[in-house]
Amino acid sequence: MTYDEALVGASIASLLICLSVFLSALWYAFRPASRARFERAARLPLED
Amino acid sequence: MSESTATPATSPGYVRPLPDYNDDVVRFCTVATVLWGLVGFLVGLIIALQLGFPALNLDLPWTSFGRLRPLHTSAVIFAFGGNALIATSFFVVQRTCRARLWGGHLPWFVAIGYQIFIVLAASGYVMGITEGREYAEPEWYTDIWLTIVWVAYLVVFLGTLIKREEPHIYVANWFYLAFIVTVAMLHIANNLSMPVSWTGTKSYSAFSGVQDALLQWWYGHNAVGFFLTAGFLGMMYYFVPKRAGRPVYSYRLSIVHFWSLIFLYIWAGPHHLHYTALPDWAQTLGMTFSIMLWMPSWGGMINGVMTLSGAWDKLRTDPVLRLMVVALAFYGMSTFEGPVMSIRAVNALSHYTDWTIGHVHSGALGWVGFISFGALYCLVPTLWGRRRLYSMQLVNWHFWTATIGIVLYMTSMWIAGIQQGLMWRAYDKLGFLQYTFIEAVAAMHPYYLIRALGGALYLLGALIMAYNLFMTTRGLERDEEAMDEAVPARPAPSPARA
Repeated sequence: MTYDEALVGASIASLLICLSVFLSALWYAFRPASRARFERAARLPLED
Repeated sequence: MSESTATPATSPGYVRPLPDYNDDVVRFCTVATVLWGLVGFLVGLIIALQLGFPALNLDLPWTSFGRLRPLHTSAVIFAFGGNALIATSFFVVQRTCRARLWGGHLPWFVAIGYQIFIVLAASGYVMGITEGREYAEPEWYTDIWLTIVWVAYLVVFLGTLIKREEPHIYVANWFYLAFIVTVAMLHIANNLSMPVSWTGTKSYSAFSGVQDALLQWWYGHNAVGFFLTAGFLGMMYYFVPKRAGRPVYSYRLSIVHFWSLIFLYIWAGPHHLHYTALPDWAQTLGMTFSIMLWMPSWGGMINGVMTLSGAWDKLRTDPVLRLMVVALAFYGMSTFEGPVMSIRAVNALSHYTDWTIGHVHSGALGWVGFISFGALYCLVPTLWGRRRLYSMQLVNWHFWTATIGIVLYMTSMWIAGIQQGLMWRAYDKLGFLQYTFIEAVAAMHPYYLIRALGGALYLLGALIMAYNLFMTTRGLERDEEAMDEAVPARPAPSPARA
């Protein structure tokens, strides 16, 4: 494997890893199952 | 209460008792925040006057601009800002986790150890002991001490999170944790150095050349990103909803805000090294990530401001909330300006000029200062068990004095910086530089005076706050007209009169 081939491979791998991390965060934030938990969590500063 | 009269925990009327919060250490750091803030603002005013009137350097090494400047930056960032972050993080993590601070006396070690760090660093600056790394000036012995204190801080914070009674970790704690962990990483990496001797103060960096510069600005920019942004966003996500009496506008947006901000910020440092020996691709990387930071920054700002949705009238009646919302406005403004300045073509004009100083202070005075003042006004009555602040009118005076001060500071530095940049790059018909360097320095004089006036007003506002908070701790309440009195609306003109 040449340096240029390794560079392209690393760039694509990095892009995919970063994209999947971002999509995971979006999924965690916007999945319907989280709605009730987040609504409850958002009220925490008001309850102490 | 005897067991026979206690309400069972399973009954509907049962209210879970609050833990015995460790607020003594929060009170200590709150007082330290106010005192160090006054010191930092005063030294800032002194060095602003030194730039306008160089005779004020007094021809003494200890009072020269070169030694007082890091004293000012460290006093406001690490002493004022750091104590505000420790105080609020300890306050917030206990309340949102419903758990007492973990670690017995360890929080006190953090609080007192941090003050020792500040004194070690400040005394070193005045005596000329410095590594010469911007925002990381303390020498190796102070760095090691801070590392010990910071690890203890992380352990206390994590320990409290682990023993929490609430199932969810509130988003403010995510920001605080990111701030603590990342600052530890940055501090250790940037301060890897070799002391000349174990009994001397001098050390040399483990890195050299452009690698050293890149590491320094990776640290420097992330000190802004994680110390002055993430930490204070944690403060914002607790105190703005608390003061507004409304939950944060979108909890989901706060999660996206968190992950995108911490991912993007860490790459932005190379924009400080445009047109240097740093490879072009690295400069472009820093610039690109800086521009991408617009999105999370503005997402967070909008989330904070929109928390007031449906309660905008409170801005008229509550100057504490007004301080925090204006802080968010400055946050939005400086996080718009920063990416613009990171663009290579803009940086060619702005770099090394006072434009950068204006930019930094719009974030520091407007965002960091105002959100901290807002938090202090919320904290002190709660911590000292008072019904309300001594005077809301004085908060209003603080707000307007400081706001006018910031506007004078920022506008004068913007104009000064752009003029400076244009003078440095101006050529005459024969291709020679049109102005000598000293002509550009002399042209700055009026702007430096306006800047000093702005700084003096900001300091005056902080003195008003210190007086107000001190009187609050004494349990006094000023006899004054309430600010929430509704102003009767003028009757609409009748069609005939119109």
